[in-house]
Amino acid sequence: MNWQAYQESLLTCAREQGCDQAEVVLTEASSLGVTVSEGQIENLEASKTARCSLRIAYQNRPGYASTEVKEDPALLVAQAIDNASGQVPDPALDFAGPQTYETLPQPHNPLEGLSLKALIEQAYGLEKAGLARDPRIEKSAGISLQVNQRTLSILNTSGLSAHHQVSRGSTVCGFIAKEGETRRDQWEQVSGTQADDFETCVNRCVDRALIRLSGHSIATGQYTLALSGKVMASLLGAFFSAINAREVEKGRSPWANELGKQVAAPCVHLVDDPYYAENPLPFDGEGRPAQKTTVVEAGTLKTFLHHSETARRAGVQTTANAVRTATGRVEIGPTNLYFLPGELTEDQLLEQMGQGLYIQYIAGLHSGLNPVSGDFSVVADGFWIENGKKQDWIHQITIAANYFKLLNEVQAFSNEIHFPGGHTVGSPAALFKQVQVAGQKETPEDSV
Amino acid sequence: MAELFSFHPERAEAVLKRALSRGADFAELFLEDGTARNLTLNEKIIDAATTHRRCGAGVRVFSQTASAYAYCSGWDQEDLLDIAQQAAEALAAQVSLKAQIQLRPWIKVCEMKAPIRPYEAVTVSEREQYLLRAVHAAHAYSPEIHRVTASLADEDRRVIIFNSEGVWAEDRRIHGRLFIQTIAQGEGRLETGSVAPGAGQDFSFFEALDLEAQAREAARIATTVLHAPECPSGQLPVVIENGFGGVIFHEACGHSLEATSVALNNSEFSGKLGQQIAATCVSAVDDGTLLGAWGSAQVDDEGQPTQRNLLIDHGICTGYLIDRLGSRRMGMEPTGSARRQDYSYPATSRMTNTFILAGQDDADEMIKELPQGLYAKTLGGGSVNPLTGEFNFAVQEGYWIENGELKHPVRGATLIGKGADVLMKIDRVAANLKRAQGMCGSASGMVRADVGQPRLRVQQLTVGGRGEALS
Repeated sequence: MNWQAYQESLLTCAREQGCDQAEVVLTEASSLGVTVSEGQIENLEASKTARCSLRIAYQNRPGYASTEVKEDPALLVAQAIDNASGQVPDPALDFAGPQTYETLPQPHNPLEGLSLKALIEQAYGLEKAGLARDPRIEKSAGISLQVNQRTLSILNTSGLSAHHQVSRGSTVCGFIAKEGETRRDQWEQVSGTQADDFETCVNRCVDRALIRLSGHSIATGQYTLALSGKVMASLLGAFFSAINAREVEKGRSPWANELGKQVAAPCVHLVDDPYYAENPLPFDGEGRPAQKTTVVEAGTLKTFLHHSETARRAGVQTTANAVRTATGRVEIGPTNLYFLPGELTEDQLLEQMGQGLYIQYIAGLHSGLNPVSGDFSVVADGFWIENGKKQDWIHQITIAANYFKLLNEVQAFSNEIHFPGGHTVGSPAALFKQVQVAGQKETPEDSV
Repeated sequence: MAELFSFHPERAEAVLKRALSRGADFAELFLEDGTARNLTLNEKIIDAATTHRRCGAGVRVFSQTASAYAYCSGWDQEDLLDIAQQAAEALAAQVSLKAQIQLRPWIKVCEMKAPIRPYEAVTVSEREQYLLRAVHAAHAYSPEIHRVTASLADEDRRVIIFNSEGVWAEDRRIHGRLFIQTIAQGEGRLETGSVAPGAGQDFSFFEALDLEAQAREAARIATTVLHAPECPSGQLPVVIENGFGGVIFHEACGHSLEATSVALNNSEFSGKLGQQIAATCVSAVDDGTLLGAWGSAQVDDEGQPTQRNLLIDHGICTGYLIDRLGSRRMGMEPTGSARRQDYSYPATSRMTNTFILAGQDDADEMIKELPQGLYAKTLGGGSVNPLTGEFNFAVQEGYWIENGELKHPVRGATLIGKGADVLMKIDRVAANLKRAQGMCGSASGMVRADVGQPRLRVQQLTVGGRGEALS
């Protein structure tokens, strides 16, 4: 039996076992990838996988079960019914019926169709190009090319039938620069329609690795801060719970009582956009048709992001932000979430800044943040800015602030949005006022 | 649980032969079949109840130090032969391979052990009642506790490994973890406190746990942090509590001793065997044999028996963590350290249960001696770049030390440093060794790992609080 037939058999079985409703999400995926380093194959990878998740309504209670093999349908249904047993009954629980979807043009995957041999040759080519760019490049830390294909289908007993196919590629370069005893590595990624922009990937990676060689720390204190688009996007993603309607219901969003109020500076506009060309999504995890949502407008919180259940409880329309977890649970997530760009180029932003820190990368965000309070403290590195120009590379510092307070202190955004490596959250660079930085007082040893 | 597939070694033989058919010098078949359950309560209501069957296989081939890996869902023999073919061809396309090798006869190195109280037999209702106790106890601690979330996540999985050297290993791995998070509200703010004990054991571990004490601890952290001022920022001596405090060693040292980076000369500890890399008061092990521990297993994910690895002996680097590929690259024996999240990853060297051994210093004196410092009592996670050794970890609940006394709590800071530097700056190690559970992420995905240490002191770390800069 193929997976599509299995999907149908699950729905039939669920009905037979007394479920009021049933829905099956099937994901089939395949991938091909290569990693080379130091002129050798480090790894070659190929895969073919499937995942099938069942959601039921049994006596108005939701239940879930999922599998990676064609499990006996009766068993899977029994597990889902068992998982439904403790849930509070919800008579309004309703899976979507048939919908109409727009045909959204899928982005071109420049790595699609390339053979393993071609991917390997390309990877070796990138490695050679990086090594040739500067004699201080000691070696590569790994060059990877990957191509992923995925099909998603949602079928249910209300007649929903939603299908979507995705083909994405990515290229990752890592290089190690060495000068004296100092070694620094750097990783860069290009993906989606830019997955074959090899020159940008290599050059950016090499140039940044070289800049990092001369890094030093700075004294602890308050500094004017600008955050790159990549860093802003990381923070935006990390604090997503603030606009997640389910988190609001659970009392875990500091913006719970802020609808219609000013939560950010007037230059802040935040949208959730399933039409973004690099990652168009015709429907959400419940099969509801795509819709673009303005979350924050001129600093005012307009709406939270909903799926159909939270929308119903809040007395509003869904914003079609349902997503499926790995086990098939319906939760809330972004489609493509980003701050709108401003007017200034990056150079103009730095000119307006004058003096301070322009942070390019952060680390430790997964542990150094509190999504409920907004506090974060992370390792950071980036440029020292003097007279509006990039100067030294600063590293081994931490920046600590409260994200929600920071949003009220945005002075300006740059005019270009960055979506870090295949992620669906993006942002332009942003300029702020002063932020607390911890570092090491400069000593002659520090400034090697 | 559904009846697990049985897997006959004749099937493995056919798969491995196919994998070797283009001339690789080693082949491995990794099979996995298991069920993961999760029950989460949001306050007194079930928020999520899920059951997931994870089942798949991966074939790996080596030719010297080049490798290829192919994987699929399920154990269908056609699919397994397919992935074996893919792995074989992938490698053959790029590497000139030697003549075919023969499979060695099977030697069963490991048998599965059945649990006494399997998770499968614990009903949704029983778990719900268990978690409700935690929710009640957390709220009872203080009226400031605004919200409580509690969850139980367990997994019962069977792992079977065959390789061309005749290894046939079967291991049943059972894990459970409790997670309690409380949110305290007050002074116009929300703060969290959480605990997450777990073990490589069945549900009897949780029955024996002092559940109410765990819930109260989560509530205590949240309410303490709620009234705590910001942590200051700057350079400070730091006393790190035992248990999850061991995350500092995990980040500052552990990852940098994995062959994953050491073998490629991409670790700051590459080539340091026999050399002093830490203060003499520091000795540390990685031990995958500890019965019932969160990171333990009978064999690693390449079928190698796990072992106790002495990594640092009174400051001297005495060992690395080495997988099969690392072994080939480094010319050293594998150490039973090959691990992977699941079949969708090839294994690489990882930590299991990693901790600093008990020392001899007085746990209270190391605070009393400090004119000024930070006592890091409750930590969050962290991360590291093994190449440079730069690491970070988060302090959730700390205490400001002044004139040898704990003056008041402080909240929220990330501590940073360089591994090689910080290991040499540990100057006190007490005797009260304790371990705690964590999830570790790296090249072969997320794996369960214990961290641990006694209370210890680091002479200086950069403390990134939001509070005033220290003069």
